[in-house]
Amino acid sequence: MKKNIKRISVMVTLLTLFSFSVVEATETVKIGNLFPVTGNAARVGIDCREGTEIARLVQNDKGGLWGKKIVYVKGDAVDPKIAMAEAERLITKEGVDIIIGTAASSRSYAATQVAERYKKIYWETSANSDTITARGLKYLFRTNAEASYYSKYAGMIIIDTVCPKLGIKPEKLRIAIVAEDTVYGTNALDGAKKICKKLGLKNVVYIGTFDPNAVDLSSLIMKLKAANPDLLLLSAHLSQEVLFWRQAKDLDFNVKAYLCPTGEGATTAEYVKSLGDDVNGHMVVSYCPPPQAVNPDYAVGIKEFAERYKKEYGHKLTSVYPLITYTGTMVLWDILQKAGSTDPDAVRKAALSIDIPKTVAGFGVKFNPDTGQNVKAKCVVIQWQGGEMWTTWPSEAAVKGHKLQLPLPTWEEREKGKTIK
Amino acid sequence: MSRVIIQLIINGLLAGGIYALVSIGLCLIFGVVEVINFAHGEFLMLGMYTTYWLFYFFKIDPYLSLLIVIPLSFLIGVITQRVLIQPLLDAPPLNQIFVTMGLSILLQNVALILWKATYRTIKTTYSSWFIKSGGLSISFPRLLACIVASGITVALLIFLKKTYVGKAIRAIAQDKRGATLMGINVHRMYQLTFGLGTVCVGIAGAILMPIYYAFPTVGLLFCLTAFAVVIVGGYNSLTGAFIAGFVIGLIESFSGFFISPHLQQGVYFAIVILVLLFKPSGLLGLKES
Repeated sequence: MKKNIKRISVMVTLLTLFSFSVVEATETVKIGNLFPVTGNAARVGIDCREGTEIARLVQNDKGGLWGKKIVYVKGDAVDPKIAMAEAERLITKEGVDIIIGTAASSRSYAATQVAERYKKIYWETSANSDTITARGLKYLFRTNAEASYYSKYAGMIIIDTVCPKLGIKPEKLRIAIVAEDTVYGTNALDGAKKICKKLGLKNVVYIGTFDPNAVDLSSLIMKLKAANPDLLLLSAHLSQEVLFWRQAKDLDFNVKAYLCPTGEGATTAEYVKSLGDDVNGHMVVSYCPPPQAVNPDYAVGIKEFAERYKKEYGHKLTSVYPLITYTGTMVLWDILQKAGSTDPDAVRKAALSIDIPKTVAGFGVKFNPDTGQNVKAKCVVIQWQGGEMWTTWPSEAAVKGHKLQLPLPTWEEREKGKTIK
Repeated sequence: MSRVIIQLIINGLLAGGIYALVSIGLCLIFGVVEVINFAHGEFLMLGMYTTYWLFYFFKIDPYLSLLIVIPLSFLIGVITQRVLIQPLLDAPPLNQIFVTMGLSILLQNVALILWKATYRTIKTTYSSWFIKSGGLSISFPRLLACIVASGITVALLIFLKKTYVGKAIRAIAQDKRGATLMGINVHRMYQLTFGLGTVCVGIAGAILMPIYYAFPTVGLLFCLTAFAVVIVGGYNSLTGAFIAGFVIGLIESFSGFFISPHLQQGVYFAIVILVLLFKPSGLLGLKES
């Protein structure tokens, strides 16, 4: 008898536990969320995840999806190999149909292959390498701009604004293209080279890469000094960018304009913290505007987003990354509403049917059925003025009173107090 | 053109000063304790972070923070020697290599957990001071690093040559058995040496902070160069390491300008290979007896 009671009680407990988990499972929608939150891409990865988190909270406040709350099953994409293992775990063990990612291109490139193999949706919101969508994966969609858009925008602003402001004809403009020797850097370098050729910016006086682990960049700067460019295009991660500008100042290397064609470190709070007023005048191509410094008519709803962010994380939003992943994730919710379930084929069909004219990041969404890339994604150009980032281009995104200002003052002029405010 | 050459020499010497400073400690430990300390770079990282946090929380100037960094580094060095290296002194050299390598990876990951992957920089008023004349410029914090490197080398050499303890350390480096027979406490001297070596690299960390940035794997970048410097200079010669630091700095500066900036490391490692092939004892190293 005693034994039986024991058995029955165990069974009852198990049954209750089971039924609870069933009830819980039916009331939530599980979505995979894969970003690097440790390792060397962690800084951007954490920023990106914050944006998706705000999107989840906002949607849950509205009632979630089909009356169910959204929950994330999180993965850490430390490196490409772990990103693959994590994608596999999210799909096979956690049973998600959709994964949102990924901040870093190398991780995205690897993890998307896994999702494709299992025929699950991979929703890329932030990694930008062209190669990710170039493979024509069927279940991959990307809402943010791809890397080659950046150079396209860099080219446009050079012709449209930089040349007239400096009073130099495009074919005469002395351009130096410099990048760190990594996949990110060399992609940017190739993009910049191509766009210069295409737009007739013939006078490229220096092209070169440098060691991303270099602890001294003085010889690069000496070379640039000898080449004497009007415009410098430099693609490097934050650390090397900071080192470059500190040494450029030491060695009195002056350019009339500086454009970072692939906004990375130059759009972060650390950039200005490390360089102070020396950042003023630097231009950066970014895939979305900084929330506090964009025309609110261009990015409708950005104020609410910034306020919600502050409420959730307790500090002001300064990074541009949360906005780009927030935008992409909100689009995903719209599509899921339309699809009626997380079934990958239904989601795919719904994704291909949409044509959103404008999102909170200022651009629209329409997917190329062959690649999954959002063909309406756009970039903006930011300029540092008075120690803050301001959207300066395209003009409809710019805040009044913050036009692009060129040329950059020389170090000597800066010493005397001349700066870009 | 001649102005460019002079500026290249200045740049090379300034970078070399930093390399020399990082390498001297490694060389001291290498030459005396005969342990290849792969965690040397991580000690640099700890020095940099200590300086950073002192600045961040207490607004203590990086140069002033030396007063805290020096004793702290010494302690870390002594503890490392006592706890990790000493029990392995008679073990095969491979075990010693693995233990310092393990320590290196451990410290990197602890730093990653505690302080995140963010790049930490200090901006002081003198971070971008420079001396300018006739179209040439010398960065003030780099010049200071150079002077400190020279000062430390001289001080260490005097200490080793003139003091009783210094002589004891040299005696161990030359003949461990003989020194033991003469009544020198080898273990204590090893701890002292390890502590001194770590102090050198801790100082390097502190005075690098106004120029460079701290992150958990920063040590790897400098450690690689430090190994090159020690090999070129001769693994048991402090003067050799000091001179080789400047030689590597100059090579980097010139090869970066005249060949290509992304080949500068390649060039000096090619030189390292040549040194290993043709003069394995380095520029000023003593031959194995």
